[in-house]
Amino acid sequence: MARAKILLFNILLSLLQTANAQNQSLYNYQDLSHLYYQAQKDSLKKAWVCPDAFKERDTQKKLREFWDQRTDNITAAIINDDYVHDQDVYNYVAGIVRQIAAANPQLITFNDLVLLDRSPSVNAYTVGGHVLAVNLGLIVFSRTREELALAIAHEMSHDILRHFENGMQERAAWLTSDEYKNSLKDVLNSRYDRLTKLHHILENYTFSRSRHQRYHESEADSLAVILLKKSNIAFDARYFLHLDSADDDYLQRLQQPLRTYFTACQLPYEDGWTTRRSHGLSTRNYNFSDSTTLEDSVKTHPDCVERYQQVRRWTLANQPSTPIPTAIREKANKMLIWNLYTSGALTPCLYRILLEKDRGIKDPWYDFMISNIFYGLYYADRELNRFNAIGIIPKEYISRDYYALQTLLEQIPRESLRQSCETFGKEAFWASLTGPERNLKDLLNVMTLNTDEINQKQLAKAAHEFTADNAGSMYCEFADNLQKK
Amino acid sequence: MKTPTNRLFCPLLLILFTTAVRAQTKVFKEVGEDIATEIKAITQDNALVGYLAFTRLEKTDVDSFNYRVTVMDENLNDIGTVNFRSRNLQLQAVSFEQDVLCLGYVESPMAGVLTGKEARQAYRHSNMESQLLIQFISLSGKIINKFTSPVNLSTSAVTGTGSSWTYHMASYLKHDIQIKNIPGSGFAAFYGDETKRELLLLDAGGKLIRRRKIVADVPSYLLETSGSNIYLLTKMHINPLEGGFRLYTYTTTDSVKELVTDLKDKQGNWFKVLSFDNDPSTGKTFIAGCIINPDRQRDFITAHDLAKNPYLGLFSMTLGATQADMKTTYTYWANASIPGITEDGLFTSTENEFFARYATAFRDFSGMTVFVASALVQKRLLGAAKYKFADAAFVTQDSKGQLKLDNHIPCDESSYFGPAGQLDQLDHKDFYKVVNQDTKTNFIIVDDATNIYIYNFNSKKLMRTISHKDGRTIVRVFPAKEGHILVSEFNGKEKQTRFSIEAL
Repeated sequence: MARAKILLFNILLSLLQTANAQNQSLYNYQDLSHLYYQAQKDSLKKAWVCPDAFKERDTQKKLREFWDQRTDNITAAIINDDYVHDQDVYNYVAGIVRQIAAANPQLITFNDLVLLDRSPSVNAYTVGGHVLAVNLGLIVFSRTREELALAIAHEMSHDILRHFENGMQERAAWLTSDEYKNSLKDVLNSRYDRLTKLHHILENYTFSRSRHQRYHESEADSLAVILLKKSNIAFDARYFLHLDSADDDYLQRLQQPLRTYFTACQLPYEDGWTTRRSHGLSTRNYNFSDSTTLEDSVKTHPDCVERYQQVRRWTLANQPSTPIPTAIREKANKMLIWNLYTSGALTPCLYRILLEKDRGIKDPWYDFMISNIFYGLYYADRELNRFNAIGIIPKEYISRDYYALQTLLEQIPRESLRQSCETFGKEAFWASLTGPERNLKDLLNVMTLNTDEINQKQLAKAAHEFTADNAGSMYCEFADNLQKK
Repeated sequence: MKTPTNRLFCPLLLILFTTAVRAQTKVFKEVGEDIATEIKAITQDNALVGYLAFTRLEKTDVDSFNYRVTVMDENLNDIGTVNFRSRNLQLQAVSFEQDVLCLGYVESPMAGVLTGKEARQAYRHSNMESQLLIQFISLSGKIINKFTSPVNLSTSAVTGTGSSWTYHMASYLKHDIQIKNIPGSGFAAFYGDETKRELLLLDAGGKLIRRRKIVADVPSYLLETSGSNIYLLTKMHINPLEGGFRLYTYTTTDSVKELVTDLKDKQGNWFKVLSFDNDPSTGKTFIAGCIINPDRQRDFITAHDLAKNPYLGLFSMTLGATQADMKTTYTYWANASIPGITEDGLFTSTENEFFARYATAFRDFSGMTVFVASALVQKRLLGAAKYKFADAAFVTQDSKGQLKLDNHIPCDESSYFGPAGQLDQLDHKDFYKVVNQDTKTNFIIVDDATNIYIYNFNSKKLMRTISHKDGRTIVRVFPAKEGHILVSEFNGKEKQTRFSIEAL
């Protein structure tokens, strides 16, 4: 009965959040990690003191090197705005972390630093030292709170079991061992097969490590199940099977033909633009036997199916699951789309928006983003960078619709791109957008329609003015990038 | 792309591995110094269909190396790799037909430029035989066949660079390997060494169909194919220096027949060849160029030379398997009273009169031959002539020989120079064509000293002007897949090069 009440409450909560979703604003400029985590970044540097683990000077020195490297990597990622602190999404994720921590006080005696990584990749990770990062891609991909909690618990388990720290120590010991040094000397002393020998050393090392790693993964899976159980968070081994489709985002088909989406947005469209005219190798039936992918034995993670088999016995039947609140998913997805846009990945950005349209989302923010994409593509074209903005992916990794979309973006004439920008400028949806969003359109106009030739100084000035007029807006990041050029 | 399993929760390993790699910098550096990669375009029917990276990985014994061929599509995406072991190789030619890559190498311990020590080691320890190696690779990554034939390499001494007095020894094939695909059939290959020259006909499976000795021993050869016809354009070292072209025609269907054509007009005036290419509309091979004035045949070096009528006119020649199939169109400015062109070939219809320094020619989709030239503007001041290079000019010749100045576009202007100014040094324009078969459009890229100009011949519009240098960024443009250019931007500040394949 109590469980049913919780379920009902969650459903009501998620419905309430759906209603609010369209009106919620996203994060502020100050929430980008280079600003928000400034203090944490500095304290991490102080807090992460390398332990005295080895008597041998060389080994200890090597360990310190790795330790410092870890600090440098995470602080560089913070400075690079790889993370963002959106209060709602953060609260949701941190809530899961807190729930697990509170239910497992014997194992978790510390507070995790929870970071929201802006990457679209379906992933979560820890770098040890109680730093836990959850990618926006994972939040958008996960169907339920429990599924997301499994990924989080898995990473918390790595942290509890000190896998990262132990890994650094093992590596320091190996890299300063006589065996390793001698094998490197062998490479340098040999006249022949030097690359092969070096490859073997690394392969053996990787193989040995990955066996450990796979053991670590199984260990983390097992502990994660325990953590979840104690936290009263339902565990279902089938989540691993769902994670197996994590790479399928761009293999998903669209529900409508491309023409439908384009004409709905008043965008110019011709079927011919979606057909590849090239006679290049991309259109041929190639099937190279790929020797570059990892053999299963050297993968760090067992296959999801194998993981499913290993933990399925712990699945409890008929456990309730809580859908990720629409508002949280929506915000995470918008942040992810904006991040794809600012990093110049326009095709995946547009494809994700079309997938959202398939879900019946009417939020004008997505129209605003389609407009930004076409402005961006026109600008990239003028900058002789359309090819990189599209980021052509070989046909075997994407759906037929994605292929058609990237072909269209490649072949749509420059004049039609300009026409798209002009059309978007007059659309009615601008009226329902915020001031900074409308001002961004003005900045994009300066970049594209208002100038015959791109003048970097003029752009920097317009970007500076945008930042001054829209202080605190998340869109200032875009203006920042322009000023840095 | 990563597989789902290794993507999931993987940065942990990535960070570990990165740091492990850094710890071995010295070893990587030394091993890396042995690795060398070169990129070649893969072409079919003269269109770029992909790229190939050929990498020498490491020495495996006294004679051999491990090699890797990475095949990329026309968008620079990797589509597969092939690893193999071989003696020292120099990759010279790549072609593609019926889903088979055909690669032409020189295989020899001496091929390339070796230091004295390397050359001595090779002499002491290696199998010194040199051979031509033609390798056939399928799109499933299998080496399906190979063809070899012994060759004798030429050698010469090369001095070291900079302050180094080290002598290097260069060993090379006298005439590089050329490979062209024959649609629906296979490949034609030409090569020549000190003692022989051969034309090979191979099917797409790598089987030798025919080999033919080429008797003519001349300084240069150019191979072209069209349908079942194979053309070998040779250049003799004679007077006039710009003439001396002889064309050999063969067919895949007749093993005996050889048609030899000297490139001269009916009066015996030699042709200067500007273009030896295939018509984008018919696919037939054509040759186009200038008709050399026998009275001025030695004078083509300076501005003064160009102003004194070194050429009598222009020609274009559509090739075929028989003499009857060869159609040549001539236009002489001396006797044609062409509007806007004087008897000396001076263009007078423009604001600044100019002589055309013809650089190349192409065929448009209506069969018109278009001659592309740098405009040499002549100005007279108190009787003395001075010159400058300015516009790029496009001169058309129709099938009846009607010649006209189609258009001229402003490009980078040089300063004025005197009549003795050497044109080779003063004319910085390089021209090349880009064809869009789909929209039947011809583009000309004018790569000038300061800017790159992209001109749409059909709409007579200058599409883009790209500066070679923008702050600390240096921009260059190269041919790419049909209708596109490959733009390389080297950022001097970040020491990075960005490549982009842009539609025209």
